[in-house]
Amino acid sequence: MEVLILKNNRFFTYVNNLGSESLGFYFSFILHLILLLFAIGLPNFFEPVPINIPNIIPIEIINVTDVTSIPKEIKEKKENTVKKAIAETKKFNNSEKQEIKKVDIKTKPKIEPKKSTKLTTPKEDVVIKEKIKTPIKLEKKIISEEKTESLPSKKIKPKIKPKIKTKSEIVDEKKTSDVIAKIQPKPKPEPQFSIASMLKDLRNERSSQTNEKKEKEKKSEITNDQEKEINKENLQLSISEIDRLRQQLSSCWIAPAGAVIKKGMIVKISAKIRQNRRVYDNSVRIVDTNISKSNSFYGPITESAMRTLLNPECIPLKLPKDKYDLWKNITITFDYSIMKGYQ
Amino acid sequence: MKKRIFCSIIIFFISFKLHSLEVTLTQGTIKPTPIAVTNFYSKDDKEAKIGKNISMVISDNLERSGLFKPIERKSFIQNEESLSNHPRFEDWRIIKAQHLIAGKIYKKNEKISVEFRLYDVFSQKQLLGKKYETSEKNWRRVSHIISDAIFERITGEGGYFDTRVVYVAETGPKKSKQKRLAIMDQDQANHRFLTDGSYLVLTPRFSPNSQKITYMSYMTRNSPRVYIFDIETGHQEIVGEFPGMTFAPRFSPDGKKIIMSYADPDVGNSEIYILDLATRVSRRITNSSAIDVSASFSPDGKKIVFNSDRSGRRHLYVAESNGKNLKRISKEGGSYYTPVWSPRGDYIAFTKQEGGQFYIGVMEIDGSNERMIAKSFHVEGPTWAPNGRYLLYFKEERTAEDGSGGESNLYSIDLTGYNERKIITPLGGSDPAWSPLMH
Repeated sequence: MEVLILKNNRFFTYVNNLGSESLGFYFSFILHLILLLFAIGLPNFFEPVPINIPNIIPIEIINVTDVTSIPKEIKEKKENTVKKAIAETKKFNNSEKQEIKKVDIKTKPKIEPKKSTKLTTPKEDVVIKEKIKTPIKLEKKIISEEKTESLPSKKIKPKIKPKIKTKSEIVDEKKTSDVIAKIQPKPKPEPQFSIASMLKDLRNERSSQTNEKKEKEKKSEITNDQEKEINKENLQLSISEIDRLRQQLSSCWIAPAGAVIKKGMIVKISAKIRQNRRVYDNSVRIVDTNISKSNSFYGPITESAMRTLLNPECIPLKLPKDKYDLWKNITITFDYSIMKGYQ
Repeated sequence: MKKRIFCSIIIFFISFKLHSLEVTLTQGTIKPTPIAVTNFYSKDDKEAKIGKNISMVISDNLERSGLFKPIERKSFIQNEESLSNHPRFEDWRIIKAQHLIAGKIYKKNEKISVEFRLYDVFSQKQLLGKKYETSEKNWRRVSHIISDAIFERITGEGGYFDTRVVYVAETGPKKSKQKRLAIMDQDQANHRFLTDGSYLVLTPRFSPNSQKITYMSYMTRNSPRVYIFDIETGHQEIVGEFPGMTFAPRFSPDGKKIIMSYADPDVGNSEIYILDLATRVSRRITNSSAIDVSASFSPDGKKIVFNSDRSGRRHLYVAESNGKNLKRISKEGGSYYTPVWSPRGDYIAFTKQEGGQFYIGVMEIDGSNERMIAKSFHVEGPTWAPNGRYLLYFKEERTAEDGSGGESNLYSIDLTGYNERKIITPLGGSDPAWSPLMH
């Protein structure tokens, strides 16, 4: 029964119909995708829910004696016994609330002059048809346009002249002139009126309209180009933006109190930043450091570096909102070379 | 086509993963860390009062270190009772506290249990949690022990709060000053005099277990000697039988020997001697016609530093504890006195006199990087805190023509030369010595 269902399934029929080459491609694509997902990891679609559970550190129970200090030998012996006792107390210490360890490509618009001729010719017919429907209006327009005949800009004329010369246009002209001649009932042409001039004017009007469109298109293309250029600029943070961030972070980087810092000590941390320019909880991590973990100042020095991004004075971070992609991940190197004077 | 799709997917993933803004910081802010020290909570009023005192002592200790800035209690939003359950970190962030100290105190079988927790407010984590059980009268010591634990956890450096200071308390006119041995906690609490002032005392030094003091006394008026004083019993004993004057004593790091200077009346100069306290056998370390004084052991006890005028002026010399491989380490002009090896082993503190001024300075153990951290008409006698970060010394005011002034007082200073503070004592003070940690 299951086999039958599988056979009827569209997906399986599609897979069966696929050629061996395309099938192989799809399989390799899916496998590569899976491999990539394993290697790189899935992007964070959902924010992790922050859980505020403090690190549980056990409490050491220490007896403080009345007498100040004990000679070393006895102290050492006692320390061993105390350690054992502490270990025992840790095991059984469950009282109260003690916490235990278990506790774009820039496409320049190619303005081809030929395109304009192609566009104008078919449109003419359409417009004329409209004009046939409303002849009076047309006349008025023509008259008004006749009056303003001298107005058509010189810019348009040279564009139109070569168009008239084309064979197809001449044919069109004839056709349209015939149509107008037949349809117009008892036209009272004015002495200066001519079909050719009317067509000229219409073409001028049309061409002016198309030119306007073109100009608009050009403008929009230009603005698009500008935007693209701006976007390109946006692909990197400006020096002043980085300086502003650096200045802010420096004020939040409180040098580790009292720690002995040796020249050349470096701590590199990374963090993920939210779009609201706040650091993601628990995302601050040490990427690299040349301080040995056995160094008693390892903790204070690295903690002071990590604390910088969590300092309330650095929330929100002074970063440009529109360039989120550039700063969603941040790596900060704390160079202690100049901090030596603090010890 | 397929290749293009495949490549674009790879590029997408790689760019998604690797793109990161990189910033390098070379200079941070050097300022005291803001810390909120809350009163230790108790349901009982009497214990709550102790809890308040404990938090006050901790707050004062941390403030005095110069590395912390306790936040004004009036600005606290969360109360102690609520805090004893769980801290609301947002409330502490608002007042810009970087660290938070909370605690509880309760009575249990005639003893008090003091429990405290240290939190990192920014990362919202508990850094430390400890509980101490002691008798009620020890609340101040517990406060110092807690201060040390906090200081150590935050700075990575050892604490120095559970310590005491012995010094020479001075009173009277300059020419006939009465000098008494006095001892107090590092925060000037529990002050008491150890001697009655009927004889002159000088240069007291603590033993490594802080139970004994060695000093020079004019108990027998004509022959000043080195003595050992037991703090608990008040018993005093003379160290060694020398025909001449013994002075400038100091315990070895293991507390079994004393290094001091002995002025042989027949020869007329002074040499460095080490005396074994168990056998009472003394061994001569230096042998020259010059005056060798003020010897101090390195923390491992293998080397000594002292001052000598064998080169014409007083300079600092380092040698092995048997006197071999002697080497002069001070190279600058002026005269050097009272060298003391840092408990951390990295520096030697000293007094320097040059151009009519006195200085307290530090240099590395090979004599390099010499720098002055205090300067006055007369400053002298540096002594290290057990963590090797702070120093105590005494400063004497200039005496006026009418004989007024001339008082000397104790001062503390950070190794960097900042945070100089006057130590308030009942009388004037000189020759301070800082004890090792008592816990």
